[in-house]
Amino acid sequence: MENGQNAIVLAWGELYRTQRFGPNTVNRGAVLFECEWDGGRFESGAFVAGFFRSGEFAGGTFFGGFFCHGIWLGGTWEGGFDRHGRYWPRGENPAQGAACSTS
Amino acid sequence: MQHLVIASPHRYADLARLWHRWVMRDVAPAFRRAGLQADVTIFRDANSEQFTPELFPGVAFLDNGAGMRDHNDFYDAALGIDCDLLFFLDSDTFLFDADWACRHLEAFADPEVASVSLVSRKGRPAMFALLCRRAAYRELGPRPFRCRYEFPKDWPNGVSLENGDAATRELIKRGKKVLAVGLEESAQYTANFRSSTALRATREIIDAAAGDGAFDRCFRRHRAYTVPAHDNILLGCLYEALYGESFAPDREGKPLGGSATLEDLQRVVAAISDPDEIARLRERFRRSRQAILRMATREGVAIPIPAVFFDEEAEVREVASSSAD
Repeated sequence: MENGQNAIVLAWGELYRTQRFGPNTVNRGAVLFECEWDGGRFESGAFVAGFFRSGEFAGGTFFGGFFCHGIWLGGTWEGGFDRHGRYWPRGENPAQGAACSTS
Repeated sequence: MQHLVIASPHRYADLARLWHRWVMRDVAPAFRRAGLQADVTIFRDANSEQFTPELFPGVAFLDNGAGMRDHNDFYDAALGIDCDLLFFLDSDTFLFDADWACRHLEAFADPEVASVSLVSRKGRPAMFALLCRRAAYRELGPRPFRCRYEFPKDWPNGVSLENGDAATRELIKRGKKVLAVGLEESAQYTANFRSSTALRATREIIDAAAGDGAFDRCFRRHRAYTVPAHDNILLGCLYEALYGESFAPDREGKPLGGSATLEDLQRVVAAISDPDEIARLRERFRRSRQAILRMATREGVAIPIPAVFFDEEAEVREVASSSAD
């Protein structure tokens, strides 16, 4: 983890479990396992079985967690739930559905 | 004549070959003897090029696409297959006595019975081996089997409904019956190497997203993978004995490199100090060994079972000899 002047950068090769990341965080390749994401920018890496409360998902893989009020800009959706607890299968995601606004 | 379709989602052709071998030899013929038309459908959830008709004679394939994006979608999509009864049998679930499964068809003489779960989850109905009346589930509307999560605001302490749980609840609300075979009876007649495919898929996905080695770091810290890793080692022992090929290889062909190797597992287990966790793992490993040895006996092959704990050899021999009795 690099702690820059304005942002914490999670880097390639790092692994985090059950941690919470705030709006000043950028992920560039780390694996986040059962973590909570609230406001930062997810650029690459894997978000596994966590709670994406808010922020931008711009790249990487979302796998088996919750996508609540984030903004989906890109990446790979491998399955997970929207903020209502509805399941979205691989290749689809809540940002594509009218029922769950993600912005 | 009632028409039954045995249906299963698969991601890896090696495990599917074991499943197919058992289903085509034992399960489908048993249902035919019971007076049903029995067909077999495999959903190719991924790696579809590995699932050639030559390796899987006698089955119909379904592939992912619109309305059937992944294995969770598959259960609902299978309700579109024209048949009377569906038998969902997961890729990691095997029947030691298919006639036993057929005997549970008698329950459907009661028109209120929607399904019989032959392998339950903690005593409750589950999808692992579910005999079901197709019409009863279709009456529930679109996507009755789909998993969901209730009270997501309470994550991670909300209520996770696995595939089929919500349907069970709705069917019971409507006065239907969803039966579950008792744990003891189920254990006598079935083997269930739960999450063995999920482990391989998770490795595949995490390594693709975060680079080779990313999953290994998860594996060392996340104990939930320990039992399925052991199960894949055992399934590999049987697979290699039957086919002379590596099971769950990685891209370079390293055996079990697509799951976790014995050495990986031994390192993880050696780092565990909690005696309760060690005892729990020993018991889980013992049950899996018994299951694979029963399968090997059915196949008429001898398989070496590697030790995971350093003091385990004697236990393995004991299980092996009792299994042969």
